[in-house]
Amino acid sequence: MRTPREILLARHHAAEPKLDALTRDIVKHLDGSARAETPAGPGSLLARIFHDLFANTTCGRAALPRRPDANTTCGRAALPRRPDIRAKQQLRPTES
Amino acid sequence: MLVVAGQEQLPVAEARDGKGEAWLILFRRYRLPIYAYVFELLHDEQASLDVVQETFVAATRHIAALRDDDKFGGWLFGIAHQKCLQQWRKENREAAAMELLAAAPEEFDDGPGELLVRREQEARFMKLLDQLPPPHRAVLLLHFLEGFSIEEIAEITGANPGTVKSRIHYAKKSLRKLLEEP
Repeated sequence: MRTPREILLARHHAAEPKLDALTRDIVKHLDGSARAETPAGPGSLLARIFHDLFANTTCGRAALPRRPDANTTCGRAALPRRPDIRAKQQLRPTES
Repeated sequence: MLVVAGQEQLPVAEARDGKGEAWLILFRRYRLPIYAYVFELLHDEQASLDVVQETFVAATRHIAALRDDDKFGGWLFGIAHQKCLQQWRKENREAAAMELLAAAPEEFDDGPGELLVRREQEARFMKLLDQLPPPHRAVLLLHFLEGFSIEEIAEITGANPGTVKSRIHYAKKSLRKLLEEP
């Protein structure tokens, strides 16, 4: 004799690997975005200071090599990019 | 009330602080029951996986709105339930579900005790569960899977407690009657 709960969970046990992959993926994105939101160390702090004080000045622009993208500065390029957690979701049907 | 896991110590506060390991523990605890709940309502594997994913992502985004950490499970099932309703709306199945609900009687007497199913009756039990109107199936699944109280199921499904009680009684009485048949 089994309870309905035991029957229901056993019936869907085969979905565990997919659910495991799915949950790990969500947590990975969660950890990634948390790291990107806070400067990790001196490297990123220096990049931010460089960006704020130097890269946007006329002198800074003149001193830096030109990038193919006119809107990109070295300072901005040096900053860590925040992974887009919604990118994966956009592959799935959107909510109505 | 059915006790599923007693007083669980779940790392809800740590998850609220954004700790990935805490979320992993919470997801591991609830992923299979949530999937079972969603699948038994939608009957579509890919749609069910999508709903589970959307439910968990929504939980990570809105955990600050949860006021009582002890109610995390009910809160999570509530999100999943809303996602199922959205899925039903996409498939225009809500009208059919509501018609079925209207056709069901409201008050029933039900005997006490946990329902137990013999091995040889399990396939029949699942078939009978599938035959129940979706609103009755939803409350019965919540009752079976997590042992939620009538008040908790009412919060999750948005129905009033009286309706939930009658749905559980109706569904369990129907199941018992059918399982007792030779």
